[in-house]
Amino acid sequence: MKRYSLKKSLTAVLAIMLSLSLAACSSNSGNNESAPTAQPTDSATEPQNEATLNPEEAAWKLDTSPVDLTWFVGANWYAHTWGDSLTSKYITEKTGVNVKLEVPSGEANEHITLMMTSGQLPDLISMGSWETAVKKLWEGDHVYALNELADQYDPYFYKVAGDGTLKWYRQENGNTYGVPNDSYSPNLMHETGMTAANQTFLVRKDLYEEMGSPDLSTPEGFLSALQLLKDQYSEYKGQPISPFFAQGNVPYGMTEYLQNLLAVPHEKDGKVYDRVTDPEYVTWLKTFRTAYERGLINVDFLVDSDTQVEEKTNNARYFMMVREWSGMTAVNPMLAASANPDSYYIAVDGPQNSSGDSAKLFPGNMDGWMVTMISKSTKNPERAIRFLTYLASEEGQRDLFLGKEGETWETVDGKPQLKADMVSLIDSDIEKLEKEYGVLDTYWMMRNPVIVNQWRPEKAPVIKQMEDFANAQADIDSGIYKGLDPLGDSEVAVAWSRISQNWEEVMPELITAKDEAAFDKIFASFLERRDSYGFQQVVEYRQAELDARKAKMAD
Amino acid sequence: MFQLRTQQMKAFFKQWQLQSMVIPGIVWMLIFCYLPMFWLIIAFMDYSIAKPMLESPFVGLKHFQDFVTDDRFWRSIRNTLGMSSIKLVLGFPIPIIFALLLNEIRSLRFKRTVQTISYLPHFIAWTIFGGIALNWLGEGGVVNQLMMALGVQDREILFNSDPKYFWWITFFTDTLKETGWSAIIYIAAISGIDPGLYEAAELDGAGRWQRMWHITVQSIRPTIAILFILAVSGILGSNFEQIFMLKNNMNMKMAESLDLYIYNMGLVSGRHSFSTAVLFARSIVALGLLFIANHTSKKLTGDSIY
Amino acid sequence: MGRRSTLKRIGVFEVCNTLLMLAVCFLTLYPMWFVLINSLNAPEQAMLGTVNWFPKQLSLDSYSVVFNDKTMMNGFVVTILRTVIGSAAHVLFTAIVAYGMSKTTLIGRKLYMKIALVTMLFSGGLIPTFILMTKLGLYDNFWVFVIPGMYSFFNMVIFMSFFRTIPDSLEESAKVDGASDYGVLFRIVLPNSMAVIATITLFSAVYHWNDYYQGVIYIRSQEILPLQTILYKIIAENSMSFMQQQAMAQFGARLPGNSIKFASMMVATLPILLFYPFIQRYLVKGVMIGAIKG
Repeated sequence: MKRYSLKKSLTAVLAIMLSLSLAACSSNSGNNESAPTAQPTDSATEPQNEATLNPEEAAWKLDTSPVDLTWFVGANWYAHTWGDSLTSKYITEKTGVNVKLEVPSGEANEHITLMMTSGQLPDLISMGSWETAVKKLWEGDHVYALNELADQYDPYFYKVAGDGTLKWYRQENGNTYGVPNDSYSPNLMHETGMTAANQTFLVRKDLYEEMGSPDLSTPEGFLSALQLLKDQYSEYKGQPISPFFAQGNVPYGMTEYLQNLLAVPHEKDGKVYDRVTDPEYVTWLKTFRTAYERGLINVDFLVDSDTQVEEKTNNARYFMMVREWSGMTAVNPMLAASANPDSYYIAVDGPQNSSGDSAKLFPGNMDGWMVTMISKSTKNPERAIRFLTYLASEEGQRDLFLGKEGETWETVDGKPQLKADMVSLIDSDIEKLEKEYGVLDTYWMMRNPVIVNQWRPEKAPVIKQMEDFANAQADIDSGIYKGLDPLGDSEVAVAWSRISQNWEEVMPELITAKDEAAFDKIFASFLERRDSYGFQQVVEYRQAELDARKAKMAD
Repeated sequence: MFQLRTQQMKAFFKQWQLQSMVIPGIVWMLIFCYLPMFWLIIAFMDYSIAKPMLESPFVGLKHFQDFVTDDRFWRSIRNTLGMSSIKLVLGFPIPIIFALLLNEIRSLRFKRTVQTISYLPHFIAWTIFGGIALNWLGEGGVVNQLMMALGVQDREILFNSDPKYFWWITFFTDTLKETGWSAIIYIAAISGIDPGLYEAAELDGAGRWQRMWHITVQSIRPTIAILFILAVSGILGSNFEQIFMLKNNMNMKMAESLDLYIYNMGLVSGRHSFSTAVLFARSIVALGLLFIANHTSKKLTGDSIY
Repeated sequence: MGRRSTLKRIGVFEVCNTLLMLAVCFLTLYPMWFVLINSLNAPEQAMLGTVNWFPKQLSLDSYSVVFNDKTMMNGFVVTILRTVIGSAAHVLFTAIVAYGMSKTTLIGRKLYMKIALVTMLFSGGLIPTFILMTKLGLYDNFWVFVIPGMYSFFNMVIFMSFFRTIPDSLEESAKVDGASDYGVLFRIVLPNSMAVIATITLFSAVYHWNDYYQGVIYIRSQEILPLQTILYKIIAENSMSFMQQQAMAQFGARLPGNSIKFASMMVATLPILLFYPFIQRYLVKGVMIGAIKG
C-alpha cells in the first residue's frame, strides 16, 4: 500500500515535470519565432534619419537608447564577456549598445555553417577571414552589404573604414560585406616599417650559446648541431631536451613557414610558383629525414597536443622552434624571470637556401585576421552599422583599447597614454587587466593596428628582439600571395582540399622514410596523386586569383 | 471491405488507451527521425550551404560515382573492417572469458568487488579516457616506462604516431574500458543457470574445465549467439568518439574509419552532398547486414531481433 | 561436504584466477587513479608533465580553482539538471510507448514496429537535425537536452521484453477490478519492473552525464552549457584549427594547467561513479532480460 502511494506521487511529479517541460518548450519557441517577424527596416523612422545624416559626423550619437546586440566571436577559446569590464560598461553607457558575446563550443566554422542552414544568425559575426563559412555568408546573402547599410544609416562609415580595406573586400557585385581587423596594407608597411611579420626561427638562448652558437642555416650545420645536441646536451640543466618544434606542424610550420625561411619565391615569371616542389625546400625536407634516421629528432613535433607543446615550451625544453614569436610573449618574460634567466628564446637565422638568402617572411596582409559582418537576422541593422562605424573610428578604437579617460588612461604631452598602474598590470596580472578593465587586446574584434599601435606600451626586450628580427626579414610585398588557394565546395576547392589533406599525411611519411630512395618514391607518388586529384585546376585558380588581386591593388 | 474497415476502426477506438500510449512515440519518431531523413535526397543533388536546398540541381548518382573512385573512401572501408575484425575476433571472447573466470571465484564479496571495479572505466567519457590513453602512450608515459623496464625497447616510442599500432591501440583501450561492462550480460546469464546442473555434473566426475565448457558455456550459448550476430551486423560501425580522440596526422591513414571519413568530407570539408551520399550507401548496406543477421538469428536460435 | 570440497580445491587455478582478477582490478582502477594523482599534483609540479604513480607534491589547489570557477560550477548544475530531467523523461516516455507496443492486441503494431526499425538504420545526419531543432525553438534552449533524447528504439525493446515477462494474471486481476490500461501500467507493471527501470535509468543517466556534443552543437549561452562541454573545450584542443590555436596563444587565452584539467575531469566523473552502485543490484537483472529477450 505504502509502495503504491509512493509510486503514485512519483508519477505525479514526473507528469508535472513533463508538462512543465512542454510548456517551457512551447513558450520558448514562441519567443524565438517572434524574432524574425519583426522587420528590420522601420520605414517610419527612415526619412527622419536621412534628414539628419551627415557623412562628416558619426551617426551613433543620434540614437543612444539601450539596445541589445548579440556578437558571435568565431574563436572557441575567447573567454571575455561584455558588461563586466570597465571598458565595456563605458562603451555601453556611451552608445547605448549592450553587447552579448557568443562563443562557439566547437569549431566556429562548423557552427556558423549549421546556423546558416537554419537561417538564424547572431546580429554581429566575427569570423577568421580564411574560414569557408565567410564566403558562404556572403554568397548566400546571409549578411548585409555594409556599403548599403552605410548609405542608408551612417555614411560616416566610409570615412573610418578606409577605402583600401573596403575595396579589398569588395565582391564582384560591388558590395563589401565585412570589415577586417589587423589588416595591413603594403603601402602602410613601407611607410611605417611596422609589419605583422611573425614567423620566426627561435632557439633557447643559453643552450645555443653554450653550444657555441652553431650554424643552423645549412643542412650540414643543422645536422651537426643536432648531433652535438644529442651527444652532449640531450639532458640540459636537469631536463630532457626536445631538439625541434614546428608550429601548426604540417600545413604551417613545416610547409609555409619553412618555405618562407628558405625564401622560396611565390611567383616566377608572372606565374604562381609551385613551392612544394622547390629544390631548396625538398633538400631541407630531406635534411629532416636524415636527422630522423640518425635519431637526432623524434616525430613529437608532428603529433604533440597543445598541452604537451605548452608543457615543453614553458620549461624551455625545445632547443629550436619554427614558431610565431607572438605566441611567445607570455612565455619569454616568464623564462627570463625563472631560475635560469637565460633560458628564454631568441630569434636567429634558421634554415636558409643554398645561396644564403635571408628569410622572406609573410608580413601580414589586407585580409587581416577576422572579418566582422552584420547578419540579416538582426532586428537593428541601423544600430549595428552605427556601432561598427563607431568602433572603427579613432574614438572607438581609443575607447576599446585604452578605456575611459582619467581612469585607465591620461593625456601626456598631448598624447593618450595608458596609466602606469595599468602598464604594470601587463606583466604582473594581465588577467585582471583584461577582466576588470578590459583594455588593450581584450576586445580585438575591430582592432586597427594602424591606430592602436601608437598607444601600445613599450614591449619587454626579450620580446622586442624577436619582433625586430621578424620585422627585418618581412617581405612586405608578399602579403598578396597569402591564401590564393580555393576554398568552399566548388570542384576546384574540393580538389585542393583533397590535395592538402593528403599532404598532411604524406609529409610525416617523408620525414620518417627509411632512406632517400624511399623519400623520392613517396614524394613522386604524392605528385602523381596530386595531379590525379586535379592539381592543374588549382594552379589555374591560383593564377586567376593572383591576377585579380593585383588588379585590385593597382586600382 | 467497408464493413471490415469500420470494424477495425471500432476496435482501434476501443483500445484508445493503448493507442494513446504508442502514438506519441510514433509522432516523436516522425518528427525527430523521419523529417531529417528527407535531407538524404541531397545525396542526389549538388547542394551548397549558401542556397536553400530545393534550389540545388539534381545530379543523379554523381556523388556515388565520386566516392567509389576515391582511394580514401576505400581506405576508410579497410580501416573500419580492420578495426571491427580485431574487435570481433579477439575482442568478442574477452568479456565471456572474464565472466567465466569471475564465476569461478568462490568468495562472494571478492567477486562482487571485482565486478564493481571492472565497470568503472565504462563511466569515464571518451573525451577523458582518450586523453588519459594518449598520456600513457606518449613520452614518459607508463607504456614506455614499462617496455623499457622490461627491456623490450631501448628508446621511447611515440606509439600513437606510428600508424601500425593504431588498430591495436583502439582495441586495447576499448577492451580496457568496456570489458567489465560487456560482461554484465554474461554474468547475468550465468547467474540464471540452475545450480543443480553443476551438482549433477560434479557427481558424474566432471572436472572444472569440463563443467565450464559443458554446462556454463552451453547454457549461455543463446546469449552469445545473439550478441555475436549483433556484433557482426555492426561491422561497418566504429567508435567515433574513440577514434576522434586518438587520431592525428601521423596515424590518419590507419585511423580514418568510415564514420570519420563521412565527418571529414561533410562538416570539415564542406562537401555535404558527397558525404550524404556515403552516409546513404552506408545505411543501405547496414540494412542488408541487419536482415542477414536477423535471418541467421532466426535459423540458429529461433529468436529474432525484431 | 560443500565446505570440504571448497577447501580441497584451493589449488593452482584458484591462485592464478585470483591474481588475474586482481590484475583486472588494477587495470580498471588505474585510469581513475591516474586522474586522481594528477589532479592532486601541485600545479607547479604538474607543469613539468604528468605523473604515473604518485603526485610529486600533494596539493588541493587545483580543486579550489575548479570549485571557484563560476562557469564550471554552473555547468555542473546544468549537467545535474539535464541528467535528472532527461533520464526521467526518457524512462517515462519510453516505458509508456513500450507498454503499448508490448500488447500483441495492439492494432497497427507491425506497422509501428517497422516505422521504428527504420530509424535504427537511417538518419539524415547533423545538418537536417540542426535545422529541425532550430525550427522547433530548441536551439540554445535547455530542453534540447531532454526532448530529442526522450525516446530510444533500443531501450523500448528492452522495456517491451521485460513487460512481457510479467505474468498476465497480475494484469488481468487488476483489469477485473476495473483498472484502465494506464492504471495497470502505473500500478502493476511499472512497480514490478524496477530492475529494468533502474537499468534504463542508468543507461540514460550515463549518456546525459557524459554527453558533450549536444552542448557543442546546440548551445551558445554560457548559462546552459553542460559541464562536459566545458570540459571538452579544455581537454580536446584536437578539435581546434591551427589558425585558432595560434590566435589563442597570441591573445592571452591561456590553457589551464595539467592539474586543473585533471581536477575538472575528476569533478566531472566522480558523481556518475558514485551514482551507479545504488543501481547496480538491479542492473544485472535488467540487462539480462533486455539482452536475452531483446
